[in-house]
Amino acid sequence: MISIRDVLVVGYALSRIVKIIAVLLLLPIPVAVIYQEWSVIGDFVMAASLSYSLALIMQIFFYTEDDVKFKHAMVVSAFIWIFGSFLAGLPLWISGTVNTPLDATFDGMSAWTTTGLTMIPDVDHVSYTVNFWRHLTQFVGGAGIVVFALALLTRSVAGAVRLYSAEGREEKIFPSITKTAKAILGICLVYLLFGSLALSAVAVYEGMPLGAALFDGVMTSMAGFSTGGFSTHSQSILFYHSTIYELVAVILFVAGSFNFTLHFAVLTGNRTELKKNIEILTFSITLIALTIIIMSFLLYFNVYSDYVILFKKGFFQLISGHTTTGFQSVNSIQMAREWPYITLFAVTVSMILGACSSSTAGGIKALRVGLIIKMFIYEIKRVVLPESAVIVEKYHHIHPATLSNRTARGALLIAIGYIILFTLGSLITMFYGYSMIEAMFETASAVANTGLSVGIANYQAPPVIKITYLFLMWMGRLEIIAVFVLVGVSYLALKRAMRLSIEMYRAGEKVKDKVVDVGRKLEKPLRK
Amino acid sequence: MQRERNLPERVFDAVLDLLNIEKNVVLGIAAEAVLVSIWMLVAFIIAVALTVLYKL
Repeated sequence: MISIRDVLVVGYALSRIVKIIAVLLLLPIPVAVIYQEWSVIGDFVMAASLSYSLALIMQIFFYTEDDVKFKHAMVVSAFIWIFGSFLAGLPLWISGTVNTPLDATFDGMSAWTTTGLTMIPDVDHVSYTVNFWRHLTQFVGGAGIVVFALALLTRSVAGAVRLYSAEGREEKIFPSITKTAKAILGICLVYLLFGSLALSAVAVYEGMPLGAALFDGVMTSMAGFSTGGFSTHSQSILFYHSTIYELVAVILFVAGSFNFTLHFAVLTGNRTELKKNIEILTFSITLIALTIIIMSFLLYFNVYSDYVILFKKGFFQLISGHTTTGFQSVNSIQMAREWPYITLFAVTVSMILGACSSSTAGGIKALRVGLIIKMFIYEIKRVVLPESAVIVEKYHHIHPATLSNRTARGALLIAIGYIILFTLGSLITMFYGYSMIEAMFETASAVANTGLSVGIANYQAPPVIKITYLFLMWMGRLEIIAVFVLVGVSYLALKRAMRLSIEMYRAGEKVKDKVVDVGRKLEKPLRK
Repeated sequence: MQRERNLPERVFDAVLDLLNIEKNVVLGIAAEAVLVSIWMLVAFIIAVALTVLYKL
């Protein structure tokens, strides 16, 4: 049952996260000072103070001493993306980087959910400070969702948790949340450091000035490791025209799309895990199969005839889609016009499949895909083998495990959820006159939090499409289940509110009757 | 008795000390980078093979 207490707990938890966002909004100010962009400072101060005031009001309004329970965490996680997106979009709107509040919220959502679609009309001329803010939110969003997924949402408290992790086991690096969060932050920062240094070095080697190379290096690492895909240039990674730069970026965003428990296993010396893990196996198989499809059709239709370009364009776009990053080595319009439909479809499939669970990536995720394949194998075996045979399907994910019905059902349910969202989104996009393949591509990009684009999601798109993608990004990031929980909770809350209001109305009627009675009784002696 | 470390090893350790990063972490990152490189190599071989096949 939902009570007022639950509302208070959720509101109070939200207020605390809004406070963190307010503090985050102050972080770009040093960047503004370094690049002497004085006018932007005001925008960020204004956004930060607005957020902080909101947090304070919420804190007073929802003050409670009750603890956050699992159901609250689900609702908070569903709500905070909407709140956070609006707040993250505030400086973009105030500074005039985007045209409307809807665009600003879209960009905020795209950043937090590590998608990478953008509503900024002129990405190449955005101030350093705003660029830093966009990339920072992506990086924090990437690390944050993992901390949340690992530390909060995979505690086996209720059935929903098992659904959420689609695995019958807890997936935590350390038993305590703070330690897990610290470990994840450590991994993120180490990669950020290595990535920034490597990318800057490559950019300098390719002839970029040191300052610009450093800034772009840090930004690309933040967007890359979080599999976000924002870029400081409208041409994305294509801007650099450097194969080495692209290769380093690939290593970085593939690393970001790995499961964090896997990272931890590998970084603490258990390197054989890379060979055995079901996620890595599934991902490798789908990656290589899709690579063959894309490259052979690009060749067949004579889009690229040279193998180096084939690799640079075909493979890069595919792995950028498969890890749900969204860096583009081909211009979006060019991709929509030149690439054969089947290759666009293959990239769409790769985006929907996604990379590893408990990572910064989106999509159905390799673990679930692997489990679903295992389930098919199990069913086939059950039909083929004699009835008396005991069939056990095993897989390895950090530890050896056996496929249970419950796990398989969880994986399948989330996969179906993604496909439903994908279909609905595609239909809405098609309604606005886009071709089926373009609609599917762009919708997959939004729902799997990828950010590759064939040019639909830009500032000129119809508002309905913007809102649709906004919600798709949100639901995709929450892996749908949290949204179901939110809908369920809202339904219960609404029902309770209705009942309460009916009771209050009836109570009011009774009081009214009584008042009328008393009035009449008083009236009688007066008349006499 | 401990093996005497050569200069590159000592420099490597000194840099890690300076950055306060464990050696294992760097090796882990290297292992992941190797895996990604293998994928890229496979993709490149596929590209070459397909091109050659197509041109034939």
